[in-house]
Amino acid sequence: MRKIKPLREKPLFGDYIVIAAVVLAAALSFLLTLPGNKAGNTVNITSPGGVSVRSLFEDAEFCVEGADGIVMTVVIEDGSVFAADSGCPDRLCVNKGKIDRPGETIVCLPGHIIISIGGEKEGGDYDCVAG
Amino acid sequence: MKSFKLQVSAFLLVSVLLFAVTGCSGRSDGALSRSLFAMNTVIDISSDGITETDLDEAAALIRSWELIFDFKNSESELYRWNESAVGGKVSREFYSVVKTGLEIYVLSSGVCSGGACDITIGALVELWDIPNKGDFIPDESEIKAALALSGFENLTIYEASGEFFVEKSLPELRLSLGGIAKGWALEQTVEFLKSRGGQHIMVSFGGNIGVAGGKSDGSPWKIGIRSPRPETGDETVGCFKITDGYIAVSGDYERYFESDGVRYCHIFDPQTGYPVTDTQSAVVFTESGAIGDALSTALFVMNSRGETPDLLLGEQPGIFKTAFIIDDSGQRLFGDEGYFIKY
Repeated sequence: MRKIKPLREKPLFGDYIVIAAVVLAAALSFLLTLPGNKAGNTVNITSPGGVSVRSLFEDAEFCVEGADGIVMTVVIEDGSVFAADSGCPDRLCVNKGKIDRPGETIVCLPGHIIISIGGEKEGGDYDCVAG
Repeated sequence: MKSFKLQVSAFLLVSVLLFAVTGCSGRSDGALSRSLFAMNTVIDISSDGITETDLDEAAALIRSWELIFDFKNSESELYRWNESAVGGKVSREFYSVVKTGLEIYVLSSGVCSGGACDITIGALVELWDIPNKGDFIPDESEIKAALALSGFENLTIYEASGEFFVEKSLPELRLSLGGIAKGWALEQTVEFLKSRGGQHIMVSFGGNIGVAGGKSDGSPWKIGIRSPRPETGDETVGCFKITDGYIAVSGDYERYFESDGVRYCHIFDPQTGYPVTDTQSAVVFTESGAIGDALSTALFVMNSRGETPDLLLGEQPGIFKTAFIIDDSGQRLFGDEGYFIKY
């Protein structure tokens, strides 16, 4: 009877490197997707003038020029963003208050301005959100 | 050999890291997509199997509907109809939306205490003009006067020799089509994309979603439902998993004002003339976008009267597939529960 010999009796040094690398990568990817870790989050500003991107973690106050002469004042503060003022009639954008989670948006319909937070979404892996 | 393994390790590491950083839920299947502001909302279109020219045409169609249904634009068909004394001949699009409104009004009238979605209350909607007048609450007498200018009994609609007519017997009667026109346009957009060979279609009209054909990988679309009160919990309350159809939402959380602790939203009970104050969100999954939009409004109003969606299913089986209602007392699911995953 032929004895089946295992390919290798002992793990080699290289195997440990592979295992260590996979464990490290898994741990890092877990840490990166943890809620609260928002280092990659951005503020995306879409207006008739185009699209611009800022960091959610660099405090700033700036104006966005929208349609029909509407100007929105946007404030980025402590990891959140809000419309501090707007020349639009309904001011839904100002009433929306602060947003700080990826996927959240502030929309000014009359001014054709969208402020959204980009980055890894927490919990939801939707194709879109209704409501 | 060792250096080969190191290379493999490094590759694995970089791959996993890249996935962790970029793994997002946007479409990455090569579908064409476009966003536009029209019909007083943000519209997102995406589809496989179409060209940029198809998207241009879809956008032009949407602009043409905007010109029909924009009640504030003096050039629009709706504006001119409202200003006219007797109404008359209308476009096929206009007629189609009015007809859907009438159908849902009649359906809801049959099972509950008066029609719950009424497109003839234009005068009332313009009186309140929520949220553009701040925390303005009209006098009881003004509300009664505006309600007196409504009512389907003052409206006659018919087709004759391939032409369409919407007539009124009350000159001051004004139509409010905002609760149906967007859902109708959403459905028309999806149908247009289908006619151009579109596949795996997803269209969003300000939070009302239409999908056709499932995703490119054959799986159903996952459509999250926005929480009406994200400040006290999660951003979403659950999700629909559907291949084809429409999700319509009527909520009290975007257009509203507050006065003395009461939230006055933009959805009215046509029986009282006041905004509904005790429903937060009414979500419905239907085969028709126009019917879905009208139904979500009707269910929103009915819920405030203690009338549940299954009353409508009893009257017309299949009018919707699934309904999901959120109010101060909690969340409830009606119809086929298999499409919805609640959190």
